[in-house]
Amino acid sequence: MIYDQARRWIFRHKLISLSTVVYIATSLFCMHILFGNVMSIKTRTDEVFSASAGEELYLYDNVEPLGPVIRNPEQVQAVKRYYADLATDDRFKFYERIGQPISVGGFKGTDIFCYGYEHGGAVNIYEMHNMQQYTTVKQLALNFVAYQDFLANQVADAIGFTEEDFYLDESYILPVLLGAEYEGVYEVGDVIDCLYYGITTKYKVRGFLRQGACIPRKGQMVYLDRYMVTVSPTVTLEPQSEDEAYWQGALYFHKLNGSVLLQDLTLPGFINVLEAYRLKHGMFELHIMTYPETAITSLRLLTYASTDILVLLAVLLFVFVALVLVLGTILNLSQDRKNMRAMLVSGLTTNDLRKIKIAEFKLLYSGGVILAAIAIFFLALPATPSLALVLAMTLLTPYMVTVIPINIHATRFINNRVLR
Amino acid sequence: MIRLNNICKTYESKKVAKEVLKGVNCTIRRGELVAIMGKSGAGKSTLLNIIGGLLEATSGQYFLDDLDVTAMTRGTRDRFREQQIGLIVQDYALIGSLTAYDNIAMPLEFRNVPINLARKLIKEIALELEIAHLLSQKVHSLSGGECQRVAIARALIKQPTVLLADEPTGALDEQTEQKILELLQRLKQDNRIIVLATHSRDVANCCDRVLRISEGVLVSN
Repeated sequence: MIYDQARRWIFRHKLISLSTVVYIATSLFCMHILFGNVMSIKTRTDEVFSASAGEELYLYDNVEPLGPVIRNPEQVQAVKRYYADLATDDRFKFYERIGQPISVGGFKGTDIFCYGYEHGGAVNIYEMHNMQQYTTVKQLALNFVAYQDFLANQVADAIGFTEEDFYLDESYILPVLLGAEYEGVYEVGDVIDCLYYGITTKYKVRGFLRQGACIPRKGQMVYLDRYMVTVSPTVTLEPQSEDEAYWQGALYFHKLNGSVLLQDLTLPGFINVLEAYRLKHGMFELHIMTYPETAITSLRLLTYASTDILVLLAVLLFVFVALVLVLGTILNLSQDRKNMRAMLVSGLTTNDLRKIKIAEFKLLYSGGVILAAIAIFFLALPATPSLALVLAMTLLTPYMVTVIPINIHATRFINNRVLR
Repeated sequence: MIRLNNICKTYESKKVAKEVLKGVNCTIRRGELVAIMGKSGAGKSTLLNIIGGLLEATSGQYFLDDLDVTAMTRGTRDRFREQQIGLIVQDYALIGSLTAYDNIAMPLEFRNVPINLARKLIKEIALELEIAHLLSQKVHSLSGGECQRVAIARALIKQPTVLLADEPTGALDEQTEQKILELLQRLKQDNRIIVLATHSRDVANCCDRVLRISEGVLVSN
């Protein structure tokens, strides 16, 4: 009976009801957009900046010329051991983010993926090898620690890299994650021919990165939408040819030029450790450099400030929506006093009247929620990992916040203005 | 039979407490048409609302036959009002956008009376009150007298033991007033208790008995 009466009231007041439903739907939709974006930005900001909180020390070899060194198998073995000591020392984190481009055979993409495209046009991006044309594209190779700290939470709908992926086996097939703009160019499972320092390897597409995925490197953010991201592998295989030895040498020199985030060491302590490893393996000196993090810091501050403003806007919108709903319902109660009195005189109890008014609000609100949900589904489903939370917050919280004052006011109004 | 023993009612607000009824005692038998007279603010409507179960007495006892209404919980009192009391108010309290039929049907609807039975009952009462021709009309297009008859039909449709009317002829012309009073005279013959609150001597003269109330006290019976 309660909902039947509420439904009748709604049909008798079509214009008010329709306006209320449209108002609720529009408000909820806007709140959802705002909250969705706030949540999304917050999540992305945390993802991107969580691992770039400390100052990294970048390592550089100063070996000139490099050719003779990496062609010398003994030197290469020494470099591998030197690298192994640095990479496994748990007093600091050793990151590899190698930005060396890769040559891809039968490349399916356009020039936007080519190395140097963003810097005024790609140059020398084609080379021939065994009668096949190779295109040089942007690539980033990460070791497991760098992958875990900087990228693991930015992989979309795919299994990312596992620790086993970072060891090269005889197949010379490495997994690759592609930037978001590669979608439609390659499919998951595709195998891509690559050429790296004269050795052909294969990349097997493991999945795609989320749009806007990025990684801090040398004081800048590198946006990976047009990048191939692969593993920087540990190679335990003995080289079977001169070419393979050369390739391993080149690879390990790149790996050695990583960066370090100190954990249990001070800078002088780290320099001592580095020197001890150098002497142990009879190696060349590695130079230490830092990059000012101005760009990243500014970006971080700007993003957090924007998020704060969005949060403030969202809260203001929320308060406004709730206030208008409560005031609108109160006004509607006052205008409906005569009808409520008629129902009371006809035999309804004050409690029934209150329930009918709440039922009207529930029905109108449900109408608004359904409309808003349809609009959200078709127009603005946000790419947030906590969609259910955002939906619940934006669709249900205004109801919970407004129904209590409406209930209290309806009870008072019926007792003081309708009953007397 | 209605029995009121020392009924008091005080309205309390944050700042002041206003004592509206100060120990009202009276008895009204079945088949009686009784008028309550008094100046504005004397307590007529409050007394009527207490008899109708809309308001709770601050103290005292109110019996309808052997039912102690003052001892009832709010929920029970609401049910008692729904089953035993028919109310007619000065401004009719009808929903203007509905037809006369829909207004009269409301109490039956709240009781979940089957539609066919409701239709039959409404037709009977409409014939009795000579409003059958008005049933399909929207209430806002009816005259004051017609509205009052619709309001009476709505009050009677649930066959109440007690019919309470607050200024039932206050807004009507003399001729219509006379018709309504004749109607009320007829209705009391069904062993009903009819209580009117009125300022009008003419209306009071048509009743079996007059209770005069002044400053919350019954001064003559």
